[in-house]
Amino acid sequence: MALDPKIQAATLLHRFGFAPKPGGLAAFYKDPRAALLAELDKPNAGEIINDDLLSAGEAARASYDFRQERKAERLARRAGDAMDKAAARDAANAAKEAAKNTASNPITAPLGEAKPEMAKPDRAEPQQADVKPKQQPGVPQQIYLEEARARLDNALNAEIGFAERLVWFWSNHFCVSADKGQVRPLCGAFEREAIRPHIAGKFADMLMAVETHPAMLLYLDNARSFGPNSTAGQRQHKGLNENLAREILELHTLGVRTGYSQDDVTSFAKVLTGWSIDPFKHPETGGEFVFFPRMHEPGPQHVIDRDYAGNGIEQGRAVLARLAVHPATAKHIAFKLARHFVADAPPQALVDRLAKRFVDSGGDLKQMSRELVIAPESWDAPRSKMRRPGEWLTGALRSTAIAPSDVRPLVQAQNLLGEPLWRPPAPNGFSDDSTAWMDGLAQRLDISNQFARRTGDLIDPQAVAEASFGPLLSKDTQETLARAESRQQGVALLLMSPEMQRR
Amino acid sequence: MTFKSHLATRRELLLGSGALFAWAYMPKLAQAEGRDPRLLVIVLRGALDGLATVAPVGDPDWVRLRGDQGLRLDGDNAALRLDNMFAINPAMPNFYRLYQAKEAAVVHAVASPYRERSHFDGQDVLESGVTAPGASDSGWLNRAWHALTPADQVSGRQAFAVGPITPLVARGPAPVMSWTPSKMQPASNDTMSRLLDLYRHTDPALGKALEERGALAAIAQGEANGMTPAKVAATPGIPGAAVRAYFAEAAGAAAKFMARADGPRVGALAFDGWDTHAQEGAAHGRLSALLGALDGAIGAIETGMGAA
Repeated sequence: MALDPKIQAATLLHRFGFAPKPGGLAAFYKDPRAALLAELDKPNAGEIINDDLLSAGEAARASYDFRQERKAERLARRAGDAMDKAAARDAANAAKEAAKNTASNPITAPLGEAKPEMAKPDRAEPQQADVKPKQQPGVPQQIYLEEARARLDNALNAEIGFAERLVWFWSNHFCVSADKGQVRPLCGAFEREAIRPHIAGKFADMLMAVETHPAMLLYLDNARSFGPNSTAGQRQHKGLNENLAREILELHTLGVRTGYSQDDVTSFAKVLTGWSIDPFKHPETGGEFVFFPRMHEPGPQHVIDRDYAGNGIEQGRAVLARLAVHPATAKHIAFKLARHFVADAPPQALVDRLAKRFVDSGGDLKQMSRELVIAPESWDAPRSKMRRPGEWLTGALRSTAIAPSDVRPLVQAQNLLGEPLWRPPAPNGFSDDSTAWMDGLAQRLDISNQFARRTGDLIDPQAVAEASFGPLLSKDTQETLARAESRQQGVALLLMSPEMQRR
Repeated sequence: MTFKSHLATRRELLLGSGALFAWAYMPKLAQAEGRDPRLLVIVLRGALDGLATVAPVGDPDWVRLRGDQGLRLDGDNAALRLDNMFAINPAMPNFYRLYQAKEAAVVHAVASPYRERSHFDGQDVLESGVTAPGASDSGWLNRAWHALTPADQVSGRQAFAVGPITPLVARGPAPVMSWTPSKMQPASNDTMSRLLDLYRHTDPALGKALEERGALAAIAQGEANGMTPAKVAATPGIPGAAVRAYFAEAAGAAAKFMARADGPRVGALAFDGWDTHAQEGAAHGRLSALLGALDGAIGAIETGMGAA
């Protein structure tokens, strides 16, 4: 299929990046593939350089300290309530005095005659107000929002955004959820520490970083998985939790129904026992990954036709290293990558080539990404994928050059659109099937309308459409924008246009 | 239509229907004796069809030229006669009553010098009061107000605007106090129908997804109005109760703010959705419902301003 090179270039840039920044697409027409791949060649590709953000361990300890403070306050208050009946009476008397002093005021006067027991709620109220003095969210939520802000900024500032889109893809592939207790403050750190450094590196390294990250060990319960015959398991009568082992096989590596058995899951879970977290309360190392030999199931294990001797963390490393380069993993990853970027039902030839590249390169993700970008299917496939809510919101902000001062409306918008940040409904992440996101179209219209009402006067929808979509802009959309009754309506229609919804 | 002499009350209304503007208007701004006049400008974005609002029903060629869609003095939903030539859309009983009381007037078929066809630019010119589109960041209302108020007069120097964005007409050197209604203006049915039209031509799957939701929303709104779902389904594109409520809240609150003795003396607000090209529904459909909402807003202004 010989399409106009400009159309191919524009398709590629939207498919693998976000909607362009105001400079538009034109700068990248000459060699869009090189421009996309150049993002992966940059030092620290995909990473967020920001010293203010906390490591997972720091975030865990800060959250722990915060909870302890809250708890102490609560206890102190309860003790105060119990001991303070007398003080309450004193306060009531004081109120009576105060009322007397302003007794000429007929409205406040009756208050002074309040019975002591009635004074108690009066007293309790300011105390309660002390607990939540300023409408500030708790530390875990503050960390979550700071991380969300850093992530948004990275996406808004990216040249094209291919590296960032890969981060989002892998972060969803290896998802954790902020809705699980204790994970919330760690989600951002998880993405920065386990995903970002490896998007242009080896899959095996990403896999190892992910499965040893405290966020994942908490999310999939491995932190509390005990070898039934381990010292700690025997003493505490605690046993195995298979969640992490199962999801590694089913979701992270080989894929569902690829020939492993329940016995493999159980053995693998035993292999992973002891992969845990230093308790949050430890001041220096709390919340960080630790291998507890006392929790680890002793002895060799048999996982998918192979024996793993050793007795320690190396046993698990060996299994992961093998899974990371397994042909089934290659197929699984290849399919997901092609489905995410190219089509709900990606061309089999493309999937096969990606898988081969994965195997041949020993799971080199930069080479695989390169294969994806240069593939003719990536140029020619129709733009059938819905932009996922986060991509769409980011694209809307980038193309209109609106930089929000507060990240919370964005977080709320993603909630409304069914893609709450780092809060997938299940360990298989958010859907990558376009039809799943069609249902949210109505919410997208509401958000577009609200966005347009707040910003519409500042934006020329036709100019933005031309710069953002270039040769992809349909005549129908162009005319619709030109005929809009106001700039605001034009902006709402621009954000809702098929060009902005699809990629 | 003649321009009647004015009683200097705050409630005087003037509907500039041929242009984009309707305004609650106090013409003798400077000399209203003993009164403290107020001017509230309402921008109807999208180009209101003036002939569907105030129709020259007395013209013998009216029906022939306008066809079936034209307002008439007979039949059900007959237009309300203003004088021997003109009648007003039956969706506007408040305006009609005010007109009868000589508290409302119409300046028909007035336009700016702008002769191109861009709606944005046309509105720019109307609001900026400058002949070239995009040539000004301020509006005529604000500049006039700034020029009229003595520099040493602090109170009442503010202009007032409704909505998250101050309309261009009210922007400029005079400080603007703005207020946003609690009700978020829903995407208008006009926006929805334009979008559906675009999807029909470019991406039917998106159209289908949105249409299914639109039908649900319309049913919810219509039921709130006592309509049966079937009746709602049979009347596409009718702005629902949400639009009516938004118009009334925005206009009524603006009037209340401005009615206070120390309140702002000029204000502006904008209503969207008036670009009713095809199937505008002058007597029964979309435009009729929008005019009804505007009429409700006029009623809210009347109430909010109180007896002046």
